[in-house]
Amino acid sequence: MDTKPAVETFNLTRLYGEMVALNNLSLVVNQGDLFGFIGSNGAGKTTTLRILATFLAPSGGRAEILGHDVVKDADAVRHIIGYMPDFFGVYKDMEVTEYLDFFGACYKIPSTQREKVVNDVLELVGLTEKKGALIGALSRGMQQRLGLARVLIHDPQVLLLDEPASGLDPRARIEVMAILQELQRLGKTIIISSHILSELETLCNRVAIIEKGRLIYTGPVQGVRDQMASGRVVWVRVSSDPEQAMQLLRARPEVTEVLPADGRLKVTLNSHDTDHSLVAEVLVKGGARLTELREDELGLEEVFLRVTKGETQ
Amino acid sequence: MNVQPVIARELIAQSRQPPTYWVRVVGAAVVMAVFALLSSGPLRPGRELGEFLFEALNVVAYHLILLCVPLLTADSISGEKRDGTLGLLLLTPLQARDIVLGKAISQALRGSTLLIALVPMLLLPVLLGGVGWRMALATVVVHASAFGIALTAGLVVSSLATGPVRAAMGAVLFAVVAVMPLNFLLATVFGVDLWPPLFLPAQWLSGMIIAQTAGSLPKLGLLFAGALAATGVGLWQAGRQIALFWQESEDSTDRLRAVVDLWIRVVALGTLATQGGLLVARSGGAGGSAQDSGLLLNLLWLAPMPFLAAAVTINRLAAAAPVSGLSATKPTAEQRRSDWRFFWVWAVLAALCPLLASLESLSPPQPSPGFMLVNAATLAGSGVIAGVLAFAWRRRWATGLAWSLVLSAALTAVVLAMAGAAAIWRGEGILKDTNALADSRVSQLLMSPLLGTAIFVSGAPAFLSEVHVFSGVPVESVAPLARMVVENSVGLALATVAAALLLPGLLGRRLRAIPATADRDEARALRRDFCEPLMGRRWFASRQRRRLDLNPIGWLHARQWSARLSGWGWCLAAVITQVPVFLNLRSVEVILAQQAWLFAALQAGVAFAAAGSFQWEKRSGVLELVLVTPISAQQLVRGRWAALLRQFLPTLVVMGLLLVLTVRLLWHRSVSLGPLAAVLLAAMPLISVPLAGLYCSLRFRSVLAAWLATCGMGLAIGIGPLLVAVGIGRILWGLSGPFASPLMGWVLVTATACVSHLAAARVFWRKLVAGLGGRRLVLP
Repeated sequence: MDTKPAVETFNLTRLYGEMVALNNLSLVVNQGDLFGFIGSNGAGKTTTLRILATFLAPSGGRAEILGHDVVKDADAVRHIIGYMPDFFGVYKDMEVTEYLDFFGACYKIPSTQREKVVNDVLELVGLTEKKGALIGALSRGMQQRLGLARVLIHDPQVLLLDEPASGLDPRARIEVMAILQELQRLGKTIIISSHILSELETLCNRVAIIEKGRLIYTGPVQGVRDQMASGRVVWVRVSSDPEQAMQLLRARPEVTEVLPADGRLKVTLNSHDTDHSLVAEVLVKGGARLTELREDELGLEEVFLRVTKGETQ
Repeated sequence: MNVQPVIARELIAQSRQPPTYWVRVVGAAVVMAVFALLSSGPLRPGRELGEFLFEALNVVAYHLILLCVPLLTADSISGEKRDGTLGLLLLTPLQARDIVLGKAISQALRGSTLLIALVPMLLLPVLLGGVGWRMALATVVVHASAFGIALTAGLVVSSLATGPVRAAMGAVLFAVVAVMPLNFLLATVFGVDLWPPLFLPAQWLSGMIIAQTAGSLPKLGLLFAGALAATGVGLWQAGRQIALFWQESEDSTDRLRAVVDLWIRVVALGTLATQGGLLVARSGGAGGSAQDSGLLLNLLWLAPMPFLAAAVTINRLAAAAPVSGLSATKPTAEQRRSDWRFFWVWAVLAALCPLLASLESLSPPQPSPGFMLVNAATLAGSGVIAGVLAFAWRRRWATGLAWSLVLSAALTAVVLAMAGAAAIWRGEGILKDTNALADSRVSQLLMSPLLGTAIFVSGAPAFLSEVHVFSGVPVESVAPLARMVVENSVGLALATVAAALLLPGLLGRRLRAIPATADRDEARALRRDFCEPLMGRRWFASRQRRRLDLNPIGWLHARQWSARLSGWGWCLAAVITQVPVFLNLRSVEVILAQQAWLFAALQAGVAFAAAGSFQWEKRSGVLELVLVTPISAQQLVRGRWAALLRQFLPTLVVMGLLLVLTVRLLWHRSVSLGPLAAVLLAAMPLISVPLAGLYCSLRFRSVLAAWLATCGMGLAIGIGPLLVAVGIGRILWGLSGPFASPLMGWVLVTATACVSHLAAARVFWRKLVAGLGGRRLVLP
């Protein structure tokens, strides 16, 4: 496989009049990544995706998709990306197949192949039974799937999805996410912006967090957790005397703090490198009867709240 | 009654809408331009300048009201439906009548700002003298009446529509039709000779005002009361429709039913208004040619009624009949009741119309009462036959009714062709000064029962005046009554036999083919029958596929049934309005004047289609999706422009052929070249208007603003450089040089206009491509 990044931006900047929507944003998305793009409303996520989709031109900096500049080589970029904005963008009086046929023609797919391509993408997104239906009569979830089918019609290598699961019910959301996982398995690179961070957490292998147009973090989800957590937290329950257990733990230099809470002990270790099995070893050797031990992990939502200041533009 | 919250919200929203300001600016500018144009021209002999200007400016003001007020109100309720706020309003203690009244008051306030903007210019002629208080009062009453009807028309259509473009088109059309009874009333009350104004609508009110001196205050009061009643009925109808909001189903059958019922009510009310006006006129002693033309107009109005009444009731009753499998739709109990109410109203109307017409046929050259009764009976009979056949074929009331009208139009076309052939066979020719059709025995045999229907279908009353069947010169050539009865009976009997032969086959086949519970969406069925190909579907599909491959953006426009319908509708309108004039060729100038009007109207139509072109793509975000595909901005503009041209191509071909024919006629006659140049000048905006409209559809958020701007640009592009060229020419050569020869002068004028439109088209093309490529026209 070609090793160049799927998406790379260099000091990307976009101004709307006086307002700075993107401020020197530099990020790298590798091929095959399912990349989460996180930020508050107005942080610059949609502007970034619009620039990558060749819809907007940057005011400064540049962006490349699989080595093609999004401004200078826009035509080539349009063939290799699939862009799904945060609205449906449909003709309600069209039938599902007509709609996909139209976009297939826009991507210059020969008419002899279009029918097969349309059937294939409809099958992939689970809309085969609705191929003759009017778009206006489809539910939100189905319209969202249709949007995904449209994105896939020309078999792009990079998908730019802006809030693909917003406004969907839980079942539809899970179904959309399952489709995205399937697409990743097929080798697509997917950049997905979403507010539903719990889903991104399980779905994405890498994330970027931006605020006020500036990049705050980019890397694996675990990395941001490690960065944000002041230390490793382990929850312990003992059936013997808790005071004795607390003294045993406080005596160790790797333990920063031990606090009782809800009948359990909250043990903070001073380093992420410290193995949490140390706590079990100390307690068992000290004669305490250990009944529960669980490591506390920061959720992506908590990380996001800690990382960002809630500033919008 | 709690209207205050609605009024307050509406006024706040209106204050933020640019059309609120632009409409009054454009209105005042138009009146000022007309004032400047007329006051610089020669005064008509024997008339004071003030009176002349007052009449002319009020004609313009009257038409501005008819155009702008419905456009302003058209989206007031439909917009709330689209945004989902109408449902929210109805969840509050507000009643439907509160909403309608609140909207009506706030929209009236907005519309009245247009009138206020016009007042200073309208007062100038008063200061110049020659305008009496009666004339001023009559003008106020007429404007107020037209304003009320236009406002109501906008609200009624808005309560039925959901899309902004259809609401705007429907509102203007409905206002023009709804004001017709008022116009008829005006004509009959004041005894105005209506024939010339039928050709030149702008003179309509002018003629009325001239005649108003014969009027009186009670008549003005009657007129105002009529308009007020029509406004009240309209508001009630809009309120009723809003109250049904929660009951609106997904299919559009109920809405179609409401629309058809509304139009038919307007026709019925119009009939009563015309009759009332005529009775008043007769009691007031209005006579002479004015009364004759009023009577003739009335006969035209009444003539198609029996056919329409029969066709409507047959189709509605057949659909409502509790016979299993007869109808493809299944009406509810409430709809059945409404159909029966309908039946009684129409039965009375159908009987009343010929009676009234026969009472009014008093003196030559009007046809005799017997003639009218025979015609009415034959028309009703043919209505029944057409209705039964059409319903048996389609088994839906709306589709059946539409096919009844088509059947009648087709028969009329056959009759006209036969009449023409007979005239040619007798060596009379068609293009001559005598009336070939009326003299034809063939036409007399079949035309009388069918012509009225043709007029109704075509909506061209001028047609009847030209063929002179019901009145006019060839009355002496109309067959004696006894022979007419025989001829019409024979015609009807033949038609009945043909129908009886066809009916079992049609009905039997359909009963087997369609289950009674089939798709009940009448609107979809109507669209399938009239907007999609009935034959050659495979060829049509492959042509559409080729178009899609060639340019998907062009295909997107061409696939809309409304685009196809409007394209062919314009073509039909061109044929209907032009062919009768050619058939009875009295004056080439009349033909040229009509062609100039038609080109001007076509320009407005093209501007509307172009101005609404990108609106949906912009609003729904599809444009953003298309712009990130490999389709270039150039392809996008080319596709849409070519699709617009294709939409109007049949009309342009017909108009072009008629123009060539006119030029050929002109060749043999010594006529001034001025009218021909006027036609060419009216046609030239068609070069630049499509591109200007596409630009405006991206530049403006509202369809109305985009359309007005497009029309304004079309005018300015033609007139601006023309004035400059003429000015420079006069400065350089005075009245000598190129302007010494009329031919050379007109050639220069048309060439200048042509060049300026071509240059403007190029500029708009470039602006569109640059604006789409650079996203300036796409981003807010």
